Amino acid sequence: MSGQYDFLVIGDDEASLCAAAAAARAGASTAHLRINQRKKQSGAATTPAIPNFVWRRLELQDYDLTLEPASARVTLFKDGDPVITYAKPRETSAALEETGIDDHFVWSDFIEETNGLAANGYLASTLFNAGKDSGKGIAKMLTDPVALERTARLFGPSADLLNDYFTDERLKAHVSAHALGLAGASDREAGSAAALSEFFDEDSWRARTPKDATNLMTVLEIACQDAGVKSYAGKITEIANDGAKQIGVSIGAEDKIRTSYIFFATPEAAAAAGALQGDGRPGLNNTAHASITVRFKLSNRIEPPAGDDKAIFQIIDDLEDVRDARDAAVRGKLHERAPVEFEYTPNGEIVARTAYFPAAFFEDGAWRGWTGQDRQAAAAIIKNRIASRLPDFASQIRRAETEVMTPNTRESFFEGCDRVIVQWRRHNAISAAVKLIDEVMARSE
Amino acid sequence: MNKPADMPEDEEGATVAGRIEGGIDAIVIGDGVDGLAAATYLGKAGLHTILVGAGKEPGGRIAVREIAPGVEGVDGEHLVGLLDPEVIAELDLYRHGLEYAARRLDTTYFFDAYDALRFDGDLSQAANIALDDDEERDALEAFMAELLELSAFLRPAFRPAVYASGDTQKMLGKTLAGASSETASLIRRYLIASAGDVLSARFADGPLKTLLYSEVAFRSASAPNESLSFMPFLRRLSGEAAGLQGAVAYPAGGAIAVVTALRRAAQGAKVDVRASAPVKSILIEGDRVAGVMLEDGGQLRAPIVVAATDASSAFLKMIGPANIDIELQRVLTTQRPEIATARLHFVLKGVAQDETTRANMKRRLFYAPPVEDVTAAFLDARAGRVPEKLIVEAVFPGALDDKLLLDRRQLMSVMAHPVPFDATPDDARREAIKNAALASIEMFATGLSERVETVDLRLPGDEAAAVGANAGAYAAKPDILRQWAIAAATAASGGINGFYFCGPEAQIGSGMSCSAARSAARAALRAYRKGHV
Repeated sequence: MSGQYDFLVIGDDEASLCAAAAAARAGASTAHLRINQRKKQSGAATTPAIPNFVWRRLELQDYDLTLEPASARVTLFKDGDPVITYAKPRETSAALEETGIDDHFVWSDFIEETNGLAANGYLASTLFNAGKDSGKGIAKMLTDPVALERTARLFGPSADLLNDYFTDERLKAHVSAHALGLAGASDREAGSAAALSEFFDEDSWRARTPKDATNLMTVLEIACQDAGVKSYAGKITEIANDGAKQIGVSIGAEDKIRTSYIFFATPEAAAAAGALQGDGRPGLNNTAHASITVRFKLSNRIEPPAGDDKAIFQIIDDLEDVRDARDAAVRGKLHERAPVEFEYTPNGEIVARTAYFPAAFFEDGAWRGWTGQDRQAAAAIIKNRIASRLPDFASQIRRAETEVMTPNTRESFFEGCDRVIVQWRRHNAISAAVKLIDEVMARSE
Repeated sequence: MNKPADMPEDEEGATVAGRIEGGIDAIVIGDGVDGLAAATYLGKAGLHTILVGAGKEPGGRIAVREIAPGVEGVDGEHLVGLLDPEVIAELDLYRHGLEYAARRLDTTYFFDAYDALRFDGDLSQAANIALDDDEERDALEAFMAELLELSAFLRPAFRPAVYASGDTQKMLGKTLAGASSETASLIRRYLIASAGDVLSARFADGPLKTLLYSEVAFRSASAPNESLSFMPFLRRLSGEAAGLQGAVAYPAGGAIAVVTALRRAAQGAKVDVRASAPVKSILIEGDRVAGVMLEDGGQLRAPIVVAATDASSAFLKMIGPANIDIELQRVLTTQRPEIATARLHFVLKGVAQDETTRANMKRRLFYAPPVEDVTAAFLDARAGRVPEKLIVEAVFPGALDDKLLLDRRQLMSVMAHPVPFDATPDDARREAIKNAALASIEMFATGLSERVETVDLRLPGDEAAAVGANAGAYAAKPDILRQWAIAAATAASGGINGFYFCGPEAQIGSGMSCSAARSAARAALRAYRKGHV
């Protein structure tokens, strides 16, 4: 089979499918490539929300699709009560007040500022996006003290932002763990404020498919078909990058297609395809971190210690865990007290993940990759962390599947190819992927 | 050292208690290089200018001090790399005695795992290094050429307080707006990316990557594995020494030579320099500045006040929180420096006899620890621990400048980075820093410890105490966006008419630059001529 496309979107996740369908609906000829055919389950029980503009663009109301927002964000500390926050600022302030956290009265102000920072469109476009006027954008930023202060704040350490509003150490730890866990960042590293403010974007609040409802991936695959996205499956065997406006991509033994752009909606998709990840975006120092998911099948249901089974949980002892684990990852070491995020799937499994493990290990003065032993050690840390919060957890584990995703640093087919676009790790992955592919379309017109 | 004979001795007491002195056009607070430069600009333009300094001698943190009996060393800085060429030209610093004992200082890099690399000239002179791998050398040449071009292009952006004066703003806007989309995308990349990512994309693991990693991290508060950490290097490369971009030079007599030349220039511009005159407060009347009140009770009244002290002294102490806007207050009070550079002097017994060592002593010696150790050092320093290995820059003043030769001893001037920032370090912390610096020096000068007679350590707290400033101002500079933001916020001067700021926070990058002084003085003069003050 052969074909000629504007975009080849590669990736087995919701953001990739949304981007492909959205591009096709906007009139771009689009192909989607699934690399891993065996993988039928998403790596998590929840996905980033589908924003309204994507919902409308894909006409999702015509599909049998039900999504419900995650109920809460819960942090299970070593001692003391958990901290719980909700999608709605008012609900959160009320809950914080109830648990005796004095900072409840500034919660809305805090959300307002973070939303303002994240929504400041021209900051983002100045610093992230190419375009013929970007020099002007940089000049404008440098000559406008207000813009400069906001930019410095947005790309500074998230601890500065949190300290400006909050005094409660547990609340600060809760926010940091949930907002920075995605990238395995520390609240004291430059750029973590960007990850923090993105976390509070409306489109970042995660959603889940209720039990017995059609799986979101399945719906999106149909939506892609309906939008006219051509679907391919298999491994890439060759990329012909002859410097022309089109790249040739060979898939498996038979398919040869040509495309203007290769598009990765997430760095995970890029890593799975063997493409190099984009370089370190602020707060998302993803070249230093591996991301690990462990899916635990249990003999019996275990009730969550707080919130309900539709919530997203973080395990940390205190804020130092976030810092120490990130520093250990940078040094190429596993950390026993790494923050662990977990959630319940509709059928009662527990899916746990952390991005606080190193991309590679530094031992005896040299770097080495992950081994089977490291996977076991990492999975054991995650298991122990959950067991420390859920009594009986260890005895109920029937099976555990571990998946390690390390950033690709090897040479790849994609080397030297400037028509490959990789979205970095985003809380609002779906919204961001669709916006990015729209932008590329606008730019190439 | 180098004190001109024609310099009048400072009079006792700057003012008479309770006396109000008028008829002054401008007052400059702070007698460091920026204060001297600002005052000279104003004096040269015909303004009756008084410079009030807290110390006994002008110079601020750049000062001559007895390190050991019979051995004098220069505090603050040892090399010149950022001194604004326009300041040199406009204030005629060469005519006022500034000269270089060594221009385009050659550098020798030392490593743990590789042989030393000798650069004849600066980093862009890769052709002159002994490196087996031609490909790597070509990569370095191409990289440095690209960076030098880009940093020259960005020079207006590194001028402090870019928006304070309309014309600089326009110029900057014009320059950057004219950037091709390739240049703009490079700027964006180099602004946001970490040094580690930038270097890994260009160099394989090896001595060149190792030395660049340390050079970028040197004197910066941004850990080189974190975002925003590469840009400070472009700032450094945008500087000039002795007319050469990206180079460093050793002034005859050491960094104090810059102070001496500026003092002469100030004298030539008829600036009334008053030492030992600490300022208690800046007088504000309505929305404008009216003069200063000294600690001794005297008042100096003038329509222009330029502060060349640290921002928290100037705005929070001398002006007072009540008179500045809340945003500036927040910017100043939320600073929490974590990283600093240690300044050390080692007095060594005996004189090196062998030719190799003597030749090396005429160079800038730079120890670049392994990349992983540099990363770890930043993690340690930020957590308040003294790192095991420090990046070290060392020069031997006596080898660079005959006049500074000692008898049967040698002075080694060192900057070591990063150490934890601590406003009031205790003795144990000091000992630990000395030991870490010495251990790092031992990595390239084996056996040197045995020759050490005296170790003298200066930390930001010491420098600040000497000039009555806030120690945080002398910590390593924060990330570049934050530096720009603080410079912009302080240059706005809290909206007080007639008040201008050119303290350390107004400057982008570390080292002596005087760009901030130039900007502030020019803005003041413009307002003066237009009759706005």
